[in-house]
Amino acid sequence: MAEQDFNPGSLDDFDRLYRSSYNRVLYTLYGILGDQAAAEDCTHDAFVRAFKAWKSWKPDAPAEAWLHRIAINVAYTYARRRRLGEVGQLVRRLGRPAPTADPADVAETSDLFRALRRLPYEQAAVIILRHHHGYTNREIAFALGAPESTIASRLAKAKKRLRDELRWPDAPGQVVTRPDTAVVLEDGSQR
Amino acid sequence: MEANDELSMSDRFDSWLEGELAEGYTRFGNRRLPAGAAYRSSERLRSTMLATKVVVVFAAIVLALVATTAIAAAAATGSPNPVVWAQYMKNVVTTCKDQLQSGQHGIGQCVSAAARQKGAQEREQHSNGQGHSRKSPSQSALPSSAP
Repeated sequence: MAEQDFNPGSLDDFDRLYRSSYNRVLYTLYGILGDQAAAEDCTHDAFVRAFKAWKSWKPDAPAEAWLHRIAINVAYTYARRRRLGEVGQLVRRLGRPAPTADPADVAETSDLFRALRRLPYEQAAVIILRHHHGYTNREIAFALGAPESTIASRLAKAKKRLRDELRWPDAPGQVVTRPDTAVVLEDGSQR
Repeated sequence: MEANDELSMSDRFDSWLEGELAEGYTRFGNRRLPAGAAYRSSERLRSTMLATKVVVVFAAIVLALVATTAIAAAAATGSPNPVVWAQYMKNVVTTCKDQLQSGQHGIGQCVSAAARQKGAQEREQHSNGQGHSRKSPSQSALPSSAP
């Protein structure tokens, strides 16, 4: 994570933080929630909350990790509320067939992102912060408000679970092409 | 040997994971920053709300002052008409000034004594069931002696 100098309470610095972190925070929340609209709403909410607390931010931790901490809490609250709503919906539609997922969503989401969504939110967050944003354990510990040792074990657990869920190394990204599965096109080429 | 295999598998998984994440986020794409950041509008809303609160409190104070003055003046003069109050106060002030002896300053005591006396008179009239009399301001009670 690129370290930048920010002054707590400075409006210009908050604007700079917004510009540099908006997409990164959004990616994290999208990975956790698996829902683009919800991730955008939560990201906006997180920036509003962070702005209110900006004067009290202490430069002893990276500003973006601090921002992530707020954003992940917002997403967690959102996810909990959504789960409660889903329970209510389930009770209401007892006996009726469950609605099927939107095919467009299914097509756009990879197996990895679907598996991430099934992880506990703090495990999904650890994976994204480490393997996409390149955070150190210390930075992740700050972003999640947990000790570094917990982060290390959480990361190991999350990866093990992902490997099991995706049946890695036979994961979708590891497809072995066999001659009998090749598609022969009309012009004679193979796909 | 097995430990090495496990390590290499873990490395391969990490690199596969990073590749998949990068690809997934590339598909997701960079979102263009919203023109009006939500925190900016919340700040504007907050300052507007603060300004509105200040205006409301100020208006409430002014209204309370006006109402108190009106009630006090109406009680002292026995009339709800501000012209009558002004005339009454003018008479009180003139009389109090006239009563000042040479070298003496300040008519505050005299004016408040006049108001007290008038108030007592009104209360007495009320308790006798006479209600407010519509005396002219010139007939109003004034302190009999200088302060």
